Order: sequence, then structure tokens, then C-alpha cells
Amino acid sequence: MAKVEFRRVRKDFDGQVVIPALDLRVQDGEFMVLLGPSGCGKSTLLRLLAGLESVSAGEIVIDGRVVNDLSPQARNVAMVFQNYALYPHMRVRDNLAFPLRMRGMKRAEIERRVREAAGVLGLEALLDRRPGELSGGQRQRVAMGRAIVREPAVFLMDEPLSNLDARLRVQIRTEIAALQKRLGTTTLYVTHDQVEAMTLGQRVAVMEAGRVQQVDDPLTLYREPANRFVAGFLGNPPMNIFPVRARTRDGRHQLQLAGQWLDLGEAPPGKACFAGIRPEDFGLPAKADDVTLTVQVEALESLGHETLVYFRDAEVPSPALCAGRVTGDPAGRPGDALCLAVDLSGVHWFDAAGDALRAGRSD
Amino acid sequence: MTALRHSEARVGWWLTVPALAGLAAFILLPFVLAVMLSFTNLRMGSPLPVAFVGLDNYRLAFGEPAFRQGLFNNVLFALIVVPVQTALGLGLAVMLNNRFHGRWLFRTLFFMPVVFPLSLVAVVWVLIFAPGPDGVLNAVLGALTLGVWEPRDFLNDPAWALPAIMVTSIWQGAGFQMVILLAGLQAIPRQLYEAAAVDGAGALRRFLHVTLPGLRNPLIFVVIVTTILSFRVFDQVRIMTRGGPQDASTTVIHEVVRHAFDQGQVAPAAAMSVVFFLIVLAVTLALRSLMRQQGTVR
Amino acid sequence: MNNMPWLRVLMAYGLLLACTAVFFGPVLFMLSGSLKPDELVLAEAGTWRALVPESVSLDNYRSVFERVPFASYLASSLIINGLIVGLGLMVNAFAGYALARLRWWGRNGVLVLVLALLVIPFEAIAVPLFYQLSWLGWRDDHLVQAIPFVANPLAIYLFYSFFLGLPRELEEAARIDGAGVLRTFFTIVIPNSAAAFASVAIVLFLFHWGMYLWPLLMTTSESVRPLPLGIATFHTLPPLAWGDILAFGVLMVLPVVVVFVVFQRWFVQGVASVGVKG
Repeated sequence: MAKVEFRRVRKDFDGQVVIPALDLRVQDGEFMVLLGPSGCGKSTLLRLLAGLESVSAGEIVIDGRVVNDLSPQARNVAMVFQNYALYPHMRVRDNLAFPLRMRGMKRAEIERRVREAAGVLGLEALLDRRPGELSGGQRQRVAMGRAIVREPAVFLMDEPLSNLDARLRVQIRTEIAALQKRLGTTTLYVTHDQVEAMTLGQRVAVMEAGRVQQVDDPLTLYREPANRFVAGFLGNPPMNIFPVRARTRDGRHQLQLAGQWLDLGEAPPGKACFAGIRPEDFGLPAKADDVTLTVQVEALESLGHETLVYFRDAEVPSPALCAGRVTGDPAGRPGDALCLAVDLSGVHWFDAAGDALRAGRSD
Repeated sequence: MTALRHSEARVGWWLTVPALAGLAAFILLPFVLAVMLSFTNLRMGSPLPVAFVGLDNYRLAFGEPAFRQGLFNNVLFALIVVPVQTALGLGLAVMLNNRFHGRWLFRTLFFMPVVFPLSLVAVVWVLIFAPGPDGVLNAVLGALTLGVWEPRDFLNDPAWALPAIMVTSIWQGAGFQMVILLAGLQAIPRQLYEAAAVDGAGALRRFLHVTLPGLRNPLIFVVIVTTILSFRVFDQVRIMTRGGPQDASTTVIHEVVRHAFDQGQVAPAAAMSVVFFLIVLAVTLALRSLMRQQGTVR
Repeated sequence: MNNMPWLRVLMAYGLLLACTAVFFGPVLFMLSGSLKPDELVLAEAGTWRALVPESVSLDNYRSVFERVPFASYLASSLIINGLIVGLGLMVNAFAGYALARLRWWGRNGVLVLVLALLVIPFEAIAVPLFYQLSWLGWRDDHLVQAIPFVANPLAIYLFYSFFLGLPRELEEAARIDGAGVLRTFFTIVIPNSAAAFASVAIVLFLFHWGMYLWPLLMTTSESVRPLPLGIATFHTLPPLAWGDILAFGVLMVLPVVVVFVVFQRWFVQGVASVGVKG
């Protein structure tokens, strides 16, 4: 069990700054997901913590101890690699036993722990096979087994599901969540997949360009994104971002969308430059007092239970399309006009720098 | 640098030290020594004190007809052997790149001469080049030309000694090219050929526009290696002709060895070695830059 | 052309057979010469009997063992090549690994040095090396024929590029699992590098089995001379018995051919990969 802390951590590669100055705290027993696009520095952060790379400045602290100068083997962390990194020349049994053997554990104890880990992960029947004879899912489990068998202070997982097919990914995802809950080991999990992040993380740290953009629980991230990047990264299709064109007419606050003026409940914050509306805030008009918007349909994608409507706003730079998610199956073809209801109570406001603003606050 | 990196650095050094010591003692040092010797008057068994003599040895070397002949022979050797051997290797590779029964056997047969020690190759070919109508090659050529061929003593004929050594070298080395070019051929994606065929390219065009570009790196590699090897020719010359007759088949290295050991002229031999190294270096750099120019290679 | 496939097949096989005659003919000539009486080797050279002996006898092989100390040549060759291959694998693999994977001061310098030394042909330094070692009084034994060839820039380079291509995560996993640098190398890297070790071993063996110039310079005692010098000595030993010489040749090349035929897959992989990558 351990707390992990990054203090002003900086990492350069050949003079190129990958992580400028990063602070992050992971609580004891917490499942923390590092989420971001490729190249954002999330894997580097994990490798720094594992001791596979050395920090250029700052401190990494595990349980109050600065570990900057410790070798990987002295840090008591376990890592699951994207390609699993199972030792091809060893049987599953020896793969699981390897970290224990390296720690000079007694043979009987090794045997007991290997059997226990194999039991937890359902690997008993595979112990005498070599990695080359296993399926992708089985290999993934062996990699997990090699991590848990040591009972390390911290688990590190670097995109552990990305080499699996979609169905298996869902299954193993739930297994990982259950396993972590049971063991209660502090876990850092790197992924670029927002579904994994939302379903696994107690908290999610969204990263971009070597900086943590926001750390929060998944729902807060989704509902109250701290900036445009987080707003655009979570959700599929992503949040629609419109440049704000607002006016007050006849005492009513209005916002222009797709060339039409729509009534807002209250005035946008003073510094608002961008308005964000999630696709699910669109719908088919049902009630007489719905705020409606007529759009020129660019494309329709019917998913059965819902339909994605794509349209263009002249103010949103091409080729970006705006997306609405409506239940049911609106009749129409590309080029048709379609009337959509918009729920403007959930509009997200962002200032010129892209940081989120609270509605009604005029600072 | 952290303590962690220090231990890695220490291990790194210790792992390299044995190899580094060997390279320094047995390649670097003698090379430096060769360069230094080439500027002195050191002679085997000479009572004169060793002195710096500037470029005298180089002047001496280039003033010597045998050395000039050796240089000329090496260049000629490279100019003929490299293209012929490479073309032959490429032909064999293309032939073996088709799927047929016994491919493995033919590859082994064609490659076998490569694993033969040169000294043995030389002895076998001395027999093949044996003079008189009973010599293997004379007999074969006689049969092929229906008796028109005049039997000759290849290895003692100034016009034929060097070509005979070339033939021997090509025979021994073509399999090496073949193996590397075959691996190169097999690395060319099949889809490229299919795409070219769909685009209407015939066999010749497919060879010119798919095979050759795809083989660029292996081709340059075998050309570099063969060129260097053809400047290093020694064993065959020593055993088959001793450079003769009248230096007609001598080579640079043969002259180096002859001067240093048969005549005790160490310093001129060192100068010849340095000239030889410079040639090899120039050829390597020229071919490598050709390779890099075209990108794709580190 | 396409409507006469059998003609193409015929031509292809004709070409194959012609090439086989060229490349395997001399080998067959050697083999058959070694099995017939000395005087017939040259006498029958101009007939088809050059390739297929009328009667087969092992007399020449017997006489190889009687006339020259063949066993001693063979033992010397085995000792020298055993040393070169055994020590060479170790020393060059260490260096290749340190260059490919470890971070240490001077690494880039050493890498450049190795690549530069790759270009220096042995023949260019044989003479000064001869003086250098003679000055130390070191000559005329097995070691002096082996030790100078243990550290080999080509072998280092082969190992280096092989280790670079190995998935790094294996070693990282081992480090995290608690193995140190050396332990990782021995328990994880070496067992997964059989191809590299095999191909370097074969390259070293093939290159040095036929070594002629160096033993010629460094040895005077028959007892430490290797096979290639043996055959040359034989050549000058009257009476000139071609059958014996060819028998000697067959015996000398047999180990290499066996090694090659058995391990050719590794050899092709090792050498060709360097060639294809450049």
C-alpha cells in the first residue's frame, strides 16, 4: 500500500521537454487513470515512476521516500506492459516466479504464491505452457499475474488492453477493476481510451502536452470539464464548441447557433468566448416550449437506438461538423432541413484561453 | 547523473573493456604502428638507427613497377570481378527465388564454395588450370569449341594468370552475393509485384521497377563487401601464381607481404599497407555515401 | 512464350544444371580425385572420369595421415577456432549489448570506433602486428593465432544490431521484476538471442577456418600449424601426390560444410539481415 507523489517533475529527451513541471498525488489504494492522446507524456510518467527513465528535475515520492535514485528493482513497483513482455523462453510458471526468485524468496513460498496468483486469474491449467502457446487474453492474464504475485506497493499498467479485441477488452476491463478493488493496491493506469478511463478510474488525470489538465472523478470530468481540451477529449462524438455570438433583445438573452438566435435562460458569463454543447443536449422537439434549431443535415448515422445528426455552423471552422445525438430515427437525408430541440441549460462556457467559466458568474 | 545511472555506466564499461582492449591492441595499435613505420627507414637486419625519412617509402613504393602493377591489377580485378560476380549472384538469386522442388539443395550447392578455405580453392583450381590438353579447363574448352581451342598453361601465361585468379575468386564468392540478394528478394512485398502486374508491367519491367529498387540496399552492401574483398586478394595469388609470371598477377597485399617478409623491407611494406587502407577507406566511404544519399539507411 | 510453358521449364532447369556444373563441378572433381590413384588425377582430368572415378579407394586418405601430421593440423585448427568462437561470442556479445542498451559515458565514441575499425582490413595491419607481437616474443603457439581475432568489429556490430532489434520491454520487465543489469542480460537477453549467437559463431568460424596469411607469418613449428598451412606444405612436399592433396582438402573442408549445412538457416539469417538492412 502506498501513496505516490510527483513533485515538479520534469523530463527532457535530448533537450526536448516532454514534461515541463508536473505535480500529481495518488492516494493510498487509489485507482488513478492517466488519460490523454498519444505523445502527451502519460507513458513517460509511468516509466519515470518505474525507474525505467530518470527524471530531469523534481522528485518522485513513494510512501514519503524520494525514489529518484533507486533502480527499478528497488522501487517495489510492478508493471504490465502493452505487449505484456512475457519472457518467451520461460513457462508461465517461471514467468510468474521470476520476480519472486529475483527477490531470493524461498522455493516453497514461491510455489505457494504462484499457485495463489494462478488461482486468482484462472491460469492453473496453463502453468506449463510457454507464452507463444497462449491466446492474447491468456497472455494478458499472465502479465497481470506476474504483477500481482509480488504484492508490490504500486501497480503500473501501460495500455494493458490495447492489444485485445473489443469483446475481450470489455471482459478483462471488468476483471481488472474487480481485482484492484479486492487487492486494494495503488494503481496507475495509462490509456488513451476514454471508456477505459471512465469505467476504471476512481480518479482520472487528463494529460496534454506533458501537463495535467484536470484531475477528478470520471463524472465530474464529464460534467464539469476544466477546459476546452478536457471537454473535447471526453465524449463521443465530442462536445460541440461554438464561438460565442450573444445579444440581449427585448430583455431576453440570446445565443446564435447555425445562424439562428436562440433564447438562453440567463446571460452568458462576461468573458465567455466559446460555448460548448454536448451532442446529447440535442433532441427531436417534443414539447411546445422547446428551444428549437433548424439545421441543414450533412450526414446521418443511424445506430439503431439513436441517430447521430451532423450539421455545419458557418462560424465553426471547416471541416469540423457539429453533432447532435437524438433518440429514434428522424426521417431525412443529407441536404434536408431538420428541426432539433436544444437544451441550453447545460451549456459550457469557456474564456478566450479555453478555461471553463461558470454560467451567471460575471468575473 | 544519478547513482542509478552510475551503476549502469560502470557495468557498461566493464562489459566493453575486453572487446575494446582487443580492438585496441590488435587492430588500432598495429594500424597506428603501420602509419608510423611508413615514415621511417626500418629494415629487417639493418644496423642503421631508425630515423624519420618523410615520404621516402611512399616514393619508393610508387617507384616500384611491381607495386604499380599490383595496384593496377587490384583495380582491374575489382572492375571485372565486382560486376560479374554481382550479376551472377543476382541471377542465381532470382532463379532461386522461384518456388520449386530442390530449391534448398541448389542453394546449398551454389553456396558451398563460399565456405571453402581459399587455400583449398586455390589448390583445386591449380589443378583445373593445369597445362596441356589433359588439364580440366583445357579439355572442357576443347570439347566445347570442337577442338578449336589451343591448350595453354593458364597460370604461367602473363595474359592468363590474372584472369585465372579472377575466375577462381568469382567461383568462390558468387554464392555469398546470392544468399544476401536472395534474402533481399524475399523481403520485397509480394503485393508490389502484383500491383505492377495489374498495372500491366511485363517481366522485364517488373524486374527493373520493382526488383532492382527493392534490392538497392543489399546490392550496395554486396558491392561494398566484394570491392573490399577484391582489394584484399592474397591467398589465391600466393598459392596459384606467387604473383607471377613477371608480376603479371601480383596484388597490393601480395607486394606488402613479399616486401616485408621475403625481402625484409618493413617500412616500404608499411607504406604500401597505408596506401591500401586509404584505397579501401575511400571505396567504402564512396559507396556508403551513395547508399545514404538515397535515404532509408542509418 | 506463355503458350509454351514446358519450354520455359526446360530452359530454367537447363540453366540450373549449368550453374550446378560450374559451382559443384570443381567440388566433385576434388572429391573424385581424392578417391583415385595419384597419377590418374591429372591423367584423367581431361575426361569425364575426372568427375566419376573408375574405382574408389581410400588409399589417399590413409596416406594423408601417414605423410603429414594431419591430426596435429586438425587439432590446431580446432583449438584455434574453438578459442576464437568461444571467447569471441562472449567478448563481442558483451560489447554489443553495452553499446546497444546501456547508457555510459563514451558509448558513442566507442560505437564510432567499432564502425571505423570495421573498414581496416586485416592484411593492412598484419605486418606491424607481426612485429608488435614478435617484439613481445609472442609467436609460434596456438594462442597467438587466436587471441588477436577474438575482439571482432563485425561480430560486435552484428550483436549490436541484433540487440537493438530485441523488444526493450522484456529487459524493462526484468529490471522491474528485480533483476540487475547483468542478471537481465544473462537470464533474459541471452536465452532470446540464439539466432544472433549462432550466426556470429558461424561467421567467426567460417572466416577463420581458412586463415592462411597469419599462421604463415606467425608459426614455424608444424605442431601448432593449422590445416590451411598443412595443405600448402603438402603442395611442396615431394613427391607431388595430387590424390593425397585432394584427400587432405576434403578432410579440411568437411567440418565447415557440415557446420554450414546444419546451421545454414542461422547463417543466412545473420549475414543476410545485415546485408538487407545495410
